[in-house]
Amino acid sequence: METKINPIVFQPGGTHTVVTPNPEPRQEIVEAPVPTRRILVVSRKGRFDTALMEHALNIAERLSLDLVCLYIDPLPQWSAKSGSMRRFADTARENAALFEARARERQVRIDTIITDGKVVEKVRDLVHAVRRVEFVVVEPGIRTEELMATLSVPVFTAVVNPDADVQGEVLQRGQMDIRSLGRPEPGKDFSSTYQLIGGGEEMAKTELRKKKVQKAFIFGTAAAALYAALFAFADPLMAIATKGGFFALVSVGTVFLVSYVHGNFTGYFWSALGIEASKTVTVKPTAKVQKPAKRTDKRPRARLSV
Amino acid sequence: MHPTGNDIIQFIDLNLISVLFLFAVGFVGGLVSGFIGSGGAFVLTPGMMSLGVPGTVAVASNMCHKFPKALVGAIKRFRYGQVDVKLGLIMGVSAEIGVQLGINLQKSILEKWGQAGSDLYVSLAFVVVLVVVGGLVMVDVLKSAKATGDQKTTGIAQRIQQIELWPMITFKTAGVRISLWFTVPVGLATGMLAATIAVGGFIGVPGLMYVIGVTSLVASATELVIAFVMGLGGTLIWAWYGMVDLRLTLIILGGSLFGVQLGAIGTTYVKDYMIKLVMATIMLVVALSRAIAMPRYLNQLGLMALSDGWVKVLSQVSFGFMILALVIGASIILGSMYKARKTEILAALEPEPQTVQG
Repeated sequence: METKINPIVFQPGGTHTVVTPNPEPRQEIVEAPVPTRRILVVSRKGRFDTALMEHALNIAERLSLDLVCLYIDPLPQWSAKSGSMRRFADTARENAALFEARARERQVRIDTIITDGKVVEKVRDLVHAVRRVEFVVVEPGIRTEELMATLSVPVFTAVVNPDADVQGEVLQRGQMDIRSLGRPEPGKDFSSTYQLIGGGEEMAKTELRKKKVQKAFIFGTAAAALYAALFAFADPLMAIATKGGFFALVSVGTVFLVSYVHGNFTGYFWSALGIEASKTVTVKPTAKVQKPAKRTDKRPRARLSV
Repeated sequence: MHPTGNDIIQFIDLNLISVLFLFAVGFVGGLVSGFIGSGGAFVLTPGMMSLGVPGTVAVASNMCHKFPKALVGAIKRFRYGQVDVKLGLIMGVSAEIGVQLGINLQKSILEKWGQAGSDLYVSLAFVVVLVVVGGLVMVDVLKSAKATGDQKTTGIAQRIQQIELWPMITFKTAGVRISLWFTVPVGLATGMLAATIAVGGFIGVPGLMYVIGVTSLVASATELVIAFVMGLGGTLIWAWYGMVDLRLTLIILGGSLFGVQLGAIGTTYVKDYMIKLVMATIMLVVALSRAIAMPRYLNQLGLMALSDGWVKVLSQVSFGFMILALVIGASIILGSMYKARKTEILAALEPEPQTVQG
């Protein structure tokens, strides 16, 4: 039972059509009107997490790429027996509609395919058919090794961290420089937000570590130079700093400078040693504080004049 | 203008041992501060004095290292989303007022009962506050360790939060809405304790947790902002009189910035009650240390008769316990961090479940 579910193609304009049961979804894609560069996003659960959707849209928007979303039911026979086939198709349709609506808001072109079969084969066929796929993003659980062996484009697994404190936080893995893809939350520590695991992660990990070592070295040298200078001129410095009055600012300014240079050094020092914030434990979001509702009526309040 | 430092102060000569000692104590103190929001300062002042640094210079130099350390720690923990800046600043300003109140109180005690009376007051404050508050925190830790699930807001905090007294302030990160008039007393008490025993956080963090109702993680992180505000204000005053020995400050800072970063990282690995455990343990051991030191002051006041030999022994034992408090705190932090990291690494190494493909 190769294809039990009708493949559906969502057109960029927002309408979608059910393609006749058969067959080769790739043919539908080949006929896409404007061949542009694309990202192929693959799910076998029948739904993409919100965070992953947003992330894919962020990347597509940033790199001016189109999206192709592929929903694959890997176990159609089991689905047919258990009756979950319908559920897979329904879930995928609902999810695709949501994805498509979001894409329209962001003005990102999106094509969707719902099919069944072997993940590796379907992805391989599609990539070969579409040709202009720049890279493939798969959801966790799909084995990237086999895909990488058959494809000539990079494959990434985007892991949505269930413990993340920020909705929409995606943990990315892959070979590419992840900073060109991700958009970490402002004010959040990049290294604690992103986790590199899986295929190709070693390269990226080494790359990140190398940069941290470099920064540790730069700030370490600067801190050592600063300390050497301060202690070489300790006597005149102390003579000025202990004059009191507005010379107090000399002491305060010096420690601020040291805290910046040496503080950065110590931060990168631990990072370079691999000692960083936990990847799994994050702050639990605090309960939303409820402000009492403001009075909306304009009736005058009772006043007491004495 | 006041007499400046050069006229009245003999700054000490530094040798390798004293430098290493200050660096090491700075590191451990920083580690504890990064983790529980404060601490370490209580060892540094007597530690510097044991090296021959005059008391005022020791306090001033300690204060001067405290605010940049707190700043670095606060920035680090802000990145982890643990700091409520608004709460920290409001508490910091009220704590600064508390420091001034504490100093005036100390001055009047000094005038009335002399140096020994002042020392006795400080030791009494140490013992009473640390035993009472540390004991309460420890009881809570023992309960939390048994209970599962999230921390619960205390009954007092819940009741206080329900009192609608203008101006009501919403603290988003802390997740509380409370009247300003309940945050100010906690800030004042923090400042007064800081002026008395140099560690305001022993009141500030429990106050934030049990009176205002924030989690220990946010409380300890926000305390770093309070410490920064208090430390900066205090440093400006001490430096105005030329009392800061920059060399001492820089050496301690050299060690403490390593420690504060590590302590802040440690908070992301441990369960919330570990912060309370470290805090309560340190508080109770320090209280013991000060209790051991008290006979010396009673002796000076003529309320006890002790030989000089005994006084010396008790002073040394007291200082030893202070260092022990820090070492125990640091060991708990490093130990729990090591365990949690090991578990995380082992979990990451586990193979992914096999994918069944159609």
